[in-house]
Amino acid sequence: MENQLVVFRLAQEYYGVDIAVVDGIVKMQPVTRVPGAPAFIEGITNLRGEILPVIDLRKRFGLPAGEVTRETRIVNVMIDGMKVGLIVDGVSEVLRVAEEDVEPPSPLITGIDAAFIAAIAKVGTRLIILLDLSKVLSRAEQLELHTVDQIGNDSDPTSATA
Amino acid sequence: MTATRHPLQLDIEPEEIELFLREVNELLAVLESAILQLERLADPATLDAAFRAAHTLKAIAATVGHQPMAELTHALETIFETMRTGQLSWSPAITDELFAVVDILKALRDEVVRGEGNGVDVGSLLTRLAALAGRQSDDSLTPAAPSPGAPLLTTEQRTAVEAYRQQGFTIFEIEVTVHIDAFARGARLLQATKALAEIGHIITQQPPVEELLAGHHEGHVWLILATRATVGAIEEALGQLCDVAGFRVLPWQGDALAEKASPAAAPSPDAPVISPAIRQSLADQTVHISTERLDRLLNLVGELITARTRLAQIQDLLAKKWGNDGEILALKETTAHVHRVMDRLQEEVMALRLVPIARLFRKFPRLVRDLARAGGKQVTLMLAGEDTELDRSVVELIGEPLIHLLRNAVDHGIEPPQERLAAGKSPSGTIWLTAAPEEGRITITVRDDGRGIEPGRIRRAAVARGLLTEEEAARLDDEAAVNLIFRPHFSTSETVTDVSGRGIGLDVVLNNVKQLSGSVAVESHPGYGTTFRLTLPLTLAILQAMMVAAGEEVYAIPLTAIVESIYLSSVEVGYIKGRPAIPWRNQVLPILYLREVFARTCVDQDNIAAKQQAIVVVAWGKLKAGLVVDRLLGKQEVVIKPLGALIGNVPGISGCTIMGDGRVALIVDVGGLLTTIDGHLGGDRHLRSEREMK
Repeated sequence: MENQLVVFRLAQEYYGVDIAVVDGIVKMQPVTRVPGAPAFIEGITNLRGEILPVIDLRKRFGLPAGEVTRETRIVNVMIDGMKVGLIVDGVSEVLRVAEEDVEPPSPLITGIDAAFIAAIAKVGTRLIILLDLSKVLSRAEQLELHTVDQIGNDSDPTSATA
Repeated sequence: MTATRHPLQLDIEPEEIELFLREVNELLAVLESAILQLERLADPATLDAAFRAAHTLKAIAATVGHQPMAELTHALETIFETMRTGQLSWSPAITDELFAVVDILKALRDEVVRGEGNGVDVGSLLTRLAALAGRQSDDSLTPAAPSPGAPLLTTEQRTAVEAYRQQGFTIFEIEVTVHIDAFARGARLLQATKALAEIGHIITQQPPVEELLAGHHEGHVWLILATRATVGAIEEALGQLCDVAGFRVLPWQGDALAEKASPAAAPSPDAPVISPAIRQSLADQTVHISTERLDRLLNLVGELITARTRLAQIQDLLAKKWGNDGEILALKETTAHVHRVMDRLQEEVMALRLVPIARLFRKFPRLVRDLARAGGKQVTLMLAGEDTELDRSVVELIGEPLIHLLRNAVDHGIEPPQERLAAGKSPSGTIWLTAAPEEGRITITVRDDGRGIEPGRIRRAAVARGLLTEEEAARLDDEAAVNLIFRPHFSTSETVTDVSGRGIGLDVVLNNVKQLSGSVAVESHPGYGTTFRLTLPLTLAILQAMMVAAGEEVYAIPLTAIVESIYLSSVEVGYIKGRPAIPWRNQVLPILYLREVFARTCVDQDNIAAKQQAIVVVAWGKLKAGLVVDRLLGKQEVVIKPLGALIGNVPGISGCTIMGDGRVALIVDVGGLLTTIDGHLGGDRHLRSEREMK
């Protein structure tokens, strides 16, 4: 068995998601913030006439905020029947990974919450973190439940990324 | 009576279900309204209508082979017949029984649709009806006869009908009449025959083709057609012919009846005539479009509107860059033309989605009657403006709020007869349910002539429920007190009735209406009655909005919520209780900085071009506020899109829209915003502060 992965970069690491869940990849485009939405939801954007919620994966994973560069991309994925855009630092390639090169997550991998990691793929000397996307969202939903009405709340969520 | 489910062997094809449903629903509606009317006055015309409806229902039931349904409608028919002949006079008990029959018929109708029995027992009801009619229940069922003059089919033809049916064809009985003074009438009838042969198979016809060719006819042709075409398509085909004076397209019932009828059965004098109203409704609904399709169509129109806005912007940019040279002028002309065509396209698409509110209203007379009887009240429901049309999405969503308001009127508004008499009123109360279009909006009012809402009682109830302290309650003026009824968990009903007074109440109405970006207002005169006024948009899809910039974002504020816009520089901002406010029309108007409210950033006055800052005065019901924005960007028609499940409900935001430049703007839910903030500030006062400054 062979997996095809869309590999993207986030901070220093490479991450992969199954190509089957990827709807498309677009350059970073204007994202409209939605007040009162969960903090890790960057906002909404217009994807060919459809409204797409966008998650900043750096924020989602608790990584330091990054600059938007020419490389920044929005990876559109389908998670549990919901279309979501993921902001990543750059998309590097589509890789074929053999089943035997995929291993369970090792405790040595640091950087992001282990809960989001489904497996690790070894490609040559590189390690690619395979994401469990449904955790990205299911935990997101849990968080959303805890999000209280934030109107009139002056705290700025963007400043909480240090 | 156990609710057993068992498959039913019915003579109905899946394609016929829709037609069946439509006819049965129409007939049930006719029956319900006739029964209601008979309760008031058992006039012969209404009795006739009721009898015909029952009779036609019986024919339909027999056609699909649903025995209990046929028996029940037969019993119903018998009741109307005995009343027609004066052997039975009307009584409220009869009304109840007849409504019970209608309810059971609905259950039986559902059985047919599902093709599965759900254990509906008609036995006891039949016995009761027979007792009412003064007859025995073993009265044999007389099957409905085929249309007069409709020749019975030969065995061969019947076999053909069966064969076509099994292949999924629908069998219609069609009659076409040509104008008496038409030229070459025979040729016209032949044309009609040919047109029908093109969309189906003619099993038999009267007169046959040879006779028509020979000129032997009486101006009409009758035929049996097996087709996969819909009633609409058939009617369209016939409608295109010249000199056609009229036609009738009915599902063929004759053969089924002929098979089921015992040969000795005398034909009933009343042919199973589909009433003109039903025929009209069949003709009205010639094309069936699924709501999904309509929604898709509207979405596409929405995208076109967005693109049109972008086109206009590009054109302006080009005009700025190149001046008014020939090509630019040609472009302007073309965009203007596209604009006009788009407007019309949008109108047409919106019109496709419009349905008369009668669709909803016609359920209510029965509801009100049942509620009134249950509550020991006498209530007449008066309907007006049933022709008012609005978008189907709106119709779907206002049903519930209206039911709530009607229940409220019957349970809490209208007094029991004794109390009314004591108050010098007629023992029977009246509820007026009215719909009227009003400048791109729809107003629906529910007015009753009941006891009205006593502000004192509301104050006491609010204190008793811990919603307000005694001092707070005392400070409220009467109008504000009456408006407390919209608070969650507010109910003044002292007795819990079957249907209302369970703590769910007017806040539900308010929320539903708010979801529709509508509003509810209440006006009450103690002793004289209460009026609830719902104001609703015609559509949920497209909105006229003022686009404003605040912080980095653009927001769309619905024009319907805007009172006016003023420049911030033209007024002086003062502070009341530490909150910014401005004098406005002899009132104190609290102001809110939109970028503070939404963008959650503090206002850095220095960075804003102060001259462009404006105050958009918005109102929602009694709440008013000025929203301070960085810049007014102009009015625009926007297509409303939901924020999506992941983001869910956001207070103060009702949705979003894609702007001409492709960016997404948020649509401000003025009602939600003002009530949320009003609530945060604990205040029945802050946003209603008119009276603090005189």
